[in-house]
Amino acid sequence: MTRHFWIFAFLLLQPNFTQAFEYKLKPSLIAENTWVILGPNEEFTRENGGYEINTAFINTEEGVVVIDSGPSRLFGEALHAKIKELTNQEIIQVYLTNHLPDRFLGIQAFPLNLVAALPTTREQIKQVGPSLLDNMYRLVGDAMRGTELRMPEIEVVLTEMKFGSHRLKFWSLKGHTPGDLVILDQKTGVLFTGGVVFNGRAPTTPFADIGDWHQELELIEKIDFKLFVPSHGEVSTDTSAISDTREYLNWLDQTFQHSAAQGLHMMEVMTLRKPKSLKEKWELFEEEYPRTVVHLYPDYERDQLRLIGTPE
Amino acid sequence: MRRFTLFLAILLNSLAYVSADQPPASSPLWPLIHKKFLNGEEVVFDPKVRISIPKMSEDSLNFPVNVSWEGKEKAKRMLLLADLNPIIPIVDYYPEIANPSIATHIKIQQATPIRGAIQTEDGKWHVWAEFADASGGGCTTPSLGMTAGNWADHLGEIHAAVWQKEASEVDRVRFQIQHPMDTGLANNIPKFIINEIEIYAAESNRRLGRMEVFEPVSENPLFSLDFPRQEGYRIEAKDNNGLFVQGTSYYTKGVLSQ
Repeated sequence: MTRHFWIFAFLLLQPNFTQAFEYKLKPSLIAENTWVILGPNEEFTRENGGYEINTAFINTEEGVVVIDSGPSRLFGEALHAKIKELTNQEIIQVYLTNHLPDRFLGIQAFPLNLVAALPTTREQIKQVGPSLLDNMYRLVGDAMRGTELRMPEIEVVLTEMKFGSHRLKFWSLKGHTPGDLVILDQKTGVLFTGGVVFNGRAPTTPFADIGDWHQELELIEKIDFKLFVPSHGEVSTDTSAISDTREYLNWLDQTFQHSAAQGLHMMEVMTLRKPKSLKEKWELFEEEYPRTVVHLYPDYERDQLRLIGTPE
Repeated sequence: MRRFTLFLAILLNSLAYVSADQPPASSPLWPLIHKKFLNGEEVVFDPKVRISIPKMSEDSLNFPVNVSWEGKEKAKRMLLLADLNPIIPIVDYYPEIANPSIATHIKIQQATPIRGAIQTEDGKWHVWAEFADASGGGCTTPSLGMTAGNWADHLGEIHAAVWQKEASEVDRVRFQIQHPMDTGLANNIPKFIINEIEIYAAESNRRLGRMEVFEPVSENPLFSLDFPRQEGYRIEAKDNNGLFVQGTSYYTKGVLSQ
């Protein structure tokens, strides 16, 4: 045995050397023919491969309808394989609920002529897709390997579609992002809220408009559903996560309004003392809050300033 | 045992080296920065230079920075630097009759120490730095306003407001100038920036502070400055294309309670 053999054998046994990143998908059945893959309440990390949201699929008589495709090519492929394994059916449609990278980058693993998104979502992917993709590589690393930008080829313009016995109803909303697709399966009463409702994990706000978001939450609260799948966190039967999300947005709005009216600059707003109840209620609050300040505070502070001079 | 002692000696030695000579946020460029921007003058690393930044940049075009001086000596110059930006200086502020604090937003090209160098009246530089992690691309990205169409209609406009800080004779002045702040590093877009700002007391016409502004300051630069109370503030700004703008802001806002 030469020394080289041992080095070779050693390298072979290194998990990172021999294997690509592997997503461990554990779909759970939440209603008739309806599966959800719950993401952990985490941020994008190398360990979770960028998967921290909830994705879902419905196994209809005609084939499988997928709702959101995950953060990477590898995830999309793992999802595709898992669906095959569980249902032994063809995939007939993939819906994207918004343009955030952990929802749409996985479409690479699906035929693009089956992938549907709102026109606004497609527009957003065109505009900010490349920088979102870059950032995912930076944050998540190896799990992104081979992931490239792809465009959904179908625009969701109808308000209803029928797949087998599952009649899906669509709402084209905005607030969390400029294009939020909310889907209700009228057969099972399961509401897929995309990124709009957060359950126990602090809301993310990179493309948010608080006023619009309020309106869409009000609308969602009125929808007659049995069960809803939030953006993050557990599947739930009552509306408390919806009102919690609304309360959180209210708190942000008031805090920013008050701070701007007092002339605080961004770093002062970031380091304000925050209510303990918020930190207890929302996982990752300390991580999300400074980001939200960067996203949303500029509009509030600009509102306070008055025109005092124009060039001569 | 002898080996262990040797190891210990090396370890202690290196620790001593870190505390004595290494800048607080270590950067390969520090010796160069010291020479080029501080003229190699006497420097102490001093945590009384307070640098308030987020740990992580969420938007590399809009990274908030607040530098203030908590020492007793009067600060005559406050120089903000980003070591690993392609253009290192951010702002060179002379708080003549002003409180030694400046807050603004900057572009960062990659993860970098953000450095505050404060020169006191005895000529000594007090330097501190904090590390900012960033996703990158801030300085080589064209301004967003340029693509928005009507930016030229509003070019150079100053918006401002003044607050009184409660229980102190200090005013908070915030102002924003509409300007693309193009660094000259994005393809086919020449450097186009606000490069000079002066602030005067509106009544006495006395200058309270002036600053040289550099490319890394964010598009539509927004500044927060603090002054001993005045009747009003006149702000003058120039850009590198000869544009001149001025405006006066009086106390307009409620009381700042923090």
